[in-house]
Amino acid sequence: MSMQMILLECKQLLRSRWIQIVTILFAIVFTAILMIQHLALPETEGFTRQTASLLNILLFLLPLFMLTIGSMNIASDQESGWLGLLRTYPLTMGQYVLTKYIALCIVFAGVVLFVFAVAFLVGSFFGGLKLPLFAIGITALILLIFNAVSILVGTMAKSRLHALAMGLGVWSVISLLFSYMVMAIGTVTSENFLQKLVIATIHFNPLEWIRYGYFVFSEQTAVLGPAFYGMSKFYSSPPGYLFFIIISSLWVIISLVVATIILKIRGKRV
Amino acid sequence: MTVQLHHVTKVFKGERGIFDVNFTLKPGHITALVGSNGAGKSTIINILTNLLHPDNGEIIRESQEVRFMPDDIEFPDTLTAKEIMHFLGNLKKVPVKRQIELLDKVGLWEARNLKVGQFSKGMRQRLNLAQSIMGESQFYILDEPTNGLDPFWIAQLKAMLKEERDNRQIILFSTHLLSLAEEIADQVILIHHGRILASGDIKYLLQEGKCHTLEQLWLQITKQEVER
Repeated sequence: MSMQMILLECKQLLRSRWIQIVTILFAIVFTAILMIQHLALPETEGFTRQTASLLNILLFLLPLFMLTIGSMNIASDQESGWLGLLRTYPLTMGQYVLTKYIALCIVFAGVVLFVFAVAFLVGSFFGGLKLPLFAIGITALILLIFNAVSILVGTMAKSRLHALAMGLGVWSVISLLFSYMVMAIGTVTSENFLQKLVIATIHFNPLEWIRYGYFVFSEQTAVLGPAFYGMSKFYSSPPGYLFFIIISSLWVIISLVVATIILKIRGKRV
Repeated sequence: MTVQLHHVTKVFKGERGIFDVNFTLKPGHITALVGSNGAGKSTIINILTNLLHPDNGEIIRESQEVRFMPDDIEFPDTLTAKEIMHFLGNLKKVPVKRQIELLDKVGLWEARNLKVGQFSKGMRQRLNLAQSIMGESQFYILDEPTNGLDPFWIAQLKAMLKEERDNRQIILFSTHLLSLAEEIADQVILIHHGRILASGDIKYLLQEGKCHTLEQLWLQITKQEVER
């Protein structure tokens, strides 16, 4: 793996119509929602509806774009025979996966920076728009985790269409179905069990994990209520911060390692 | 250095695949792998390029490295021919000067800055040919190399293969064109329904079968196979 390979991957991604369309769409939606919130609501400190909106836009849209584009990018290489050709070159599947991952992170970071810049620019005409610092941290975490997950999804898919369907499937499960499932289970179980289930879903759903991370690092865990006091107290301490970093890293590492293993095994079956 | 396949078998669902395949590829020889569609040519090629593992049998060779021209590949269509050669050349540590020479050799120098998505099928196949020439490996495999090439570039391809043979390379190409195999190959492997029906020196096989052309030999052997 070399810098040149990563740059070429970035070039390829940036020239893709999908990325260009998504960037424009994301810029419009992001700016519009922030502007509406900015003009309609009074400015207050702390966890406001504005912060919640920003958090939701980032947690709802970014993973969707990453899961679909990232997975299709990998599946496209498999479907077109390009990956088959690369296998005859001195390139390990680990290098291939890592190159893709770094390129996806760089490109999506560029996309998000562009979208933030557009939002700022438009906001400056309406009395200045504040972009909280947490947005950058949350975005970085989304980029790191979901690009890895999207690569894993892409390696499991057999074609671009399959990858798109799988990407959308994973996104709908983690962003919608997971919460509804927990709510449904909550109606038939005890409060104690429900609390444990929610704690488990926070750890096993990357989206909830990032959302929870926001509350921890912005010191707003009170929003979650007294039921999560113990857990929040732990994650608000130095060992908790370390544990948070470890779990976040595991999402990335496990996804990339499993993706590499799948590609290695698939290469032997063709 | 030779490449030897001993009792290689690979079976897919539905009893398709290759069965007990044996042959030896020698340096300075062009070998044609000839068979109808679905005969097992691509399976053999995928095994030799390490894209597929056989169920049984062994492959004896000194190096795992190959130079490969696949059939029906779609290059990333947002990259230019020059960028693709640069990307692949970098993996094999091929100097930029050589990459440029190869683009020129396949007549793509003028189109080097065009995105591959704008290429015709023939141009894509020539880019495929250019990338396959790159590298140091002595083992050169081409899967249906004439697909999409016009008569001029087929002639160029033949000349390039002869040049590779003169450089003592081990060359294996698959085709369903018997005339092409007869024209440029030294050895032929005739495969039908996953089994090798005949293999060896073309002149010898024609003499043995009392045939004038490879086509006659093919028809004779496959007819015997059907009667059996």
